[in-house]
Amino acid sequence: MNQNTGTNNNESTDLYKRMQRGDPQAFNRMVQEYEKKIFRIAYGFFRDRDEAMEIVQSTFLKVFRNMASYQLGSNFSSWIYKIASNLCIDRYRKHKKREENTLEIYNRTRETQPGNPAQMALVESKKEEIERAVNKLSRRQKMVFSLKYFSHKKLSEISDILGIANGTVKTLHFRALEKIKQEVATGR
Amino acid sequence: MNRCHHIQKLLPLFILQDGLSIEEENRVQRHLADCPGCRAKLNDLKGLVNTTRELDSDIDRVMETVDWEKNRRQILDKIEWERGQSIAPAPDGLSRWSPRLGLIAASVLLVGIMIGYLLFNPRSGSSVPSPSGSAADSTYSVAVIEENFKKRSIMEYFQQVRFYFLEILEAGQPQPLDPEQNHLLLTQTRYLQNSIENDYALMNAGELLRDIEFVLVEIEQYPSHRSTAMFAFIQDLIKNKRLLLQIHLVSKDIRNIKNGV
Repeated sequence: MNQNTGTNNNESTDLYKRMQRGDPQAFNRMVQEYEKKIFRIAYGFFRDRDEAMEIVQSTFLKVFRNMASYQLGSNFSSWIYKIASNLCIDRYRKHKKREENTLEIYNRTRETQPGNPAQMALVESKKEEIERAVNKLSRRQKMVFSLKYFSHKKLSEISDILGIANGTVKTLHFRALEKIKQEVATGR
Repeated sequence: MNRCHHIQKLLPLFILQDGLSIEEENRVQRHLADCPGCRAKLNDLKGLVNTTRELDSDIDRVMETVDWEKNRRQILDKIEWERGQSIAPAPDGLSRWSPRLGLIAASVLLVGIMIGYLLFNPRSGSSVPSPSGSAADSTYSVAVIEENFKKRSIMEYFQQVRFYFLEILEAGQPQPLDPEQNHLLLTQTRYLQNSIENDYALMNAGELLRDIEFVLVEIEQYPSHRSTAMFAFIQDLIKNKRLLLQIHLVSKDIRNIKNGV
């Protein structure tokens, strides 16, 4: 939908125009196009399926409410990702206990997991350590991390989505990795 | 050492092949060839990045458990429901208003829309793109006018709150506070909260409104016999929440919001 080919651009513009007119079919198509992409961002951020589903639904409602203010011709995917990432950050801010809760859930899940062969267990345990470390990142670091590793965005795209300078994205990404490395090394 | 530190900062981007210029990439490669310490760091980091990438495949597994069809239906149902609500006559927030305030608000809204229209009418050379013709374009123009009006109302409101708080902060000793002025500001705060609740671009303003509302509610409970401790408490609240600075910053943000972004 967001390929830079002329035909696709025309199709997209037509779709967004129809959405601005309130065409349900157009909304349906847009939801189909973006639901999984938004889920990846939100799940990468919260590591929680229900939270991610909430963000997916809220994002599309927000798009619907603000569709009239979307400027045709501007980058729709950046716009919708920006809405989704802001919703994640806002939701996170409202749930100050999130980190502790997530850790609790994580610990419970870990205890109830069936035993794996040694090799798998090692990989799984490393993944869990990283996951736990990711949960300890600051909101902005976590969002950059999620967009980079779970939504596979280029750093320049992330800068566009979050509305921050490219250099800041690089620094946030570097600090996030450093923090994760440190957390994993100390095994906290 | 300094050189190693600089190179190590580039290593994550080097592994991801993203964000480095060709020159930077060559510099990293040359350095790695000569520096076993940085090579070890690179391998460490590669392991970390690779394991992180595996977290990504977990998302695919979780996504398989979602009933996307059902989720889509729910979203579209909610949208349909909201569409129905948007043409309903009386929003909840307004039902609390006294008829007098309602009348004032309606007149202000009308005058504002007229001013907004005159200021941002595309024919007067506004920068807002609004090609004439289709229904969507006129919907867009109306949305832009409403958006500008909303921004203008919030800016004016922030100006009033700023003066009100400044007066309180600059008072050396407990002052009588005008309950009517406070009540009016509180009503305005709640009205604006309602009107920008769903506005993505004004999210920061929404948060500030909540802080202001909190202080105004405290002031409403300020006793008429002027307790020194209570007055100092209100002054502290305004200072601690850094409301004047926040008002300044949010107003600046609002001025910089581009239409339709």
